[in-house]
Amino acid sequence: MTSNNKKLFTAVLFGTAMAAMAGGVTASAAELSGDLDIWAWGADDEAKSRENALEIFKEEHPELNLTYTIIPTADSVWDQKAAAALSSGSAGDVMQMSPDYYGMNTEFYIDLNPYVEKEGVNLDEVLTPGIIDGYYDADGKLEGFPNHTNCFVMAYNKDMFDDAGVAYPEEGWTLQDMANWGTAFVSGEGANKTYALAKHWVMNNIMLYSGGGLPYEEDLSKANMSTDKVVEALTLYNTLISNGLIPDDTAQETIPAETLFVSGKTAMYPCGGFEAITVTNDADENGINIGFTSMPSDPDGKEINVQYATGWAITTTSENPDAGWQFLKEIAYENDAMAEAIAVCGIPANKKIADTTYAETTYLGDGLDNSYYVEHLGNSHLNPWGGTLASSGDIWETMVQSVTLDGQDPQAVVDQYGPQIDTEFASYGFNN
Amino acid sequence: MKEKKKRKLSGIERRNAINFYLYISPWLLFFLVLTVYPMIKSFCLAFTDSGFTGEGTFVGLANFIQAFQVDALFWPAFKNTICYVLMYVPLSLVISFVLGWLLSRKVKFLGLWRTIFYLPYITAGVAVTILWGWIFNGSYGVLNYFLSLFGITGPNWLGDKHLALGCIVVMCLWSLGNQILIMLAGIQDIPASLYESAQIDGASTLRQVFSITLPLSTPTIYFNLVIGTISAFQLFNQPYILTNGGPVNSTLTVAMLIFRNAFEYGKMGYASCIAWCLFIVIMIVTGIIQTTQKKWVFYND
Repeated sequence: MTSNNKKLFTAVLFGTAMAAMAGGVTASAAELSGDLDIWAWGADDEAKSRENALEIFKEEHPELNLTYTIIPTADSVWDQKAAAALSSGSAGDVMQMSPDYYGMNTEFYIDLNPYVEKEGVNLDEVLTPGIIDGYYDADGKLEGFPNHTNCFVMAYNKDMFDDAGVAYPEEGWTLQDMANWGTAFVSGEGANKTYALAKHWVMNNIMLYSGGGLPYEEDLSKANMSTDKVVEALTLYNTLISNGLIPDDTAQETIPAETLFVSGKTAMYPCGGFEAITVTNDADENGINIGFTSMPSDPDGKEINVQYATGWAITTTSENPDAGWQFLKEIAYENDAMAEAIAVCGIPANKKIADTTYAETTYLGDGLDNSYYVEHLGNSHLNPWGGTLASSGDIWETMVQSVTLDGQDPQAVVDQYGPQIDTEFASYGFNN
Repeated sequence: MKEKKKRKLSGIERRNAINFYLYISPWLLFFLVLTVYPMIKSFCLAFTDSGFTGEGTFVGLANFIQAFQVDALFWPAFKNTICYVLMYVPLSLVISFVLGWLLSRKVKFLGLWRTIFYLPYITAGVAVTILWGWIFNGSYGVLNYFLSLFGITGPNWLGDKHLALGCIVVMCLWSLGNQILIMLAGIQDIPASLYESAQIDGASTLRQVFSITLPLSTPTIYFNLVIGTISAFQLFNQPYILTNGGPVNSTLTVAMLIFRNAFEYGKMGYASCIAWCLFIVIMIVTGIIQTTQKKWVFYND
């Protein structure tokens, strides 16, 4: 071999090795090895479902030294631990994340687009429709991969409706209408007080859309919080609370919304997919007959529903991203057993399981099965104030409290705080 | 010029010195790693636009300008915190002194009383806060129920921006056990002979309290004042759990603002800037207390 040939051979060998390293994002399961550390959040049923899915993966991949931690979210335990670990580079290879809570527009996670491209799979065919959309940053980076998602259904106490002589709410009902017929449910004082609608934690976000507007542009370039639609939303919210149709924040601070509903103190309750089992079982135990309908519609007739999504991401510090991807794709669409394990807490990313096992699950009560959640997912907005947008969400909460607790004029509140949200939006990294 | 000759340490002195550094080293190590290093790091971060990763570019005084001129919550958070300090610290001193004095008296079931007053201090903070949430609840609360027995309609305690901070003060005063214990120890340290002399001179109990107990307790009061002020400036748990800073940010404290910016919004640089502002305020207030103590603290003289 001449010197030139040797050089060429070495260059080809080196190039092949580099290409193998760079392009080796789809190492088959058989080629996987090494450590894989996974961090998840959750408690009770949610934690159990994660654990079950992780155990299935562990069993099917003995070649991997899999370790995992499930951290509760209560009292911000997850927030603090995850933030500290991500900042210090000591987080797991795979971290649970959410496009509406934690993770978007950060520098912690690798772009998953190359893995998806290399996989050559048509995501529309294998994933629940719309479930991946929120995981793309404005610049196209795929920050995470979906695990499951949840939206809401309006549960109502049929006995309370019958006693009040009010017709059951039907698809297309609005909160503006409820301001009239809902007064029939308002009675009593103190512990005996009854309401039309429980103030579930999702209500601040539902009310945000009740005037018919959107809080910001789809590309997040600017906020729309100084509009008349927001004034209308705040005015309606105040009417509902001041007339006693919905409890105020503090009234419900110590008694969970779910408890009010299953004890017959509120006629309606926005029931998330993650809590449907508990709510229906508790209501049944207390002898309350419940029915279900869609979430309210805005003045333009569009359903107001909010989606809370949970997914996974691979950290930039991971030394075993291929194994991480294997986990992500299996739990999202490739491994039906894992999808079935997580389906108890929401709509799984795995389309096949979402349309079958999940959708066919029924609950106690009148006619609720999970197909409702699957059908209505497409009408939902992703939690508007998650992740990076939390600072604007806190300002929205202040706006709500200014009107509903402090009695300020909605227009004045919008004039004061709308520009603050504009300033927040202008300060976000993706707008600079 | 003659150089001063360094005295050679004897064997025992050398051994003592080694022992000293050996014994102090665990504390020193943790102090350096967990206090000094984070302080230096946060000082550096305060001049950067650092996010979660702790890496960012130098932005000069931009964070401070943001805090003083742009952030709509910076001044309200400081105002709330200072209001809390002004309400909580004097009340805590008065209550701990009165209770400390009462517990130093010869009364029946003294041990039981002391235990009862100390108990809230060792009760889990989160549980206590939730319990107080029930007491203050405008619709279902025990307090408003009690008021209703007298025909009074109680207010929405935690929903009224003028009352919510006061409720938190009351809640915090409930767990004064440690301050009471320190005050009790200080009062018990006063020589009995002083009271005996006063009794012989015909001084009433109240006169004894104001002429003997109070002046000679001033070192203890001074200690409680400094510690109480510093911890009051760092108020976080109670408003975080009970009101999350509401209603309308009326219970938002500086510590909460730091937490939100650091761990919810991922603005580590800006959060460090606020933390240093708080640190400077605490240092100034503590310095003022330290300077004035010569005029009102009596050390056995």
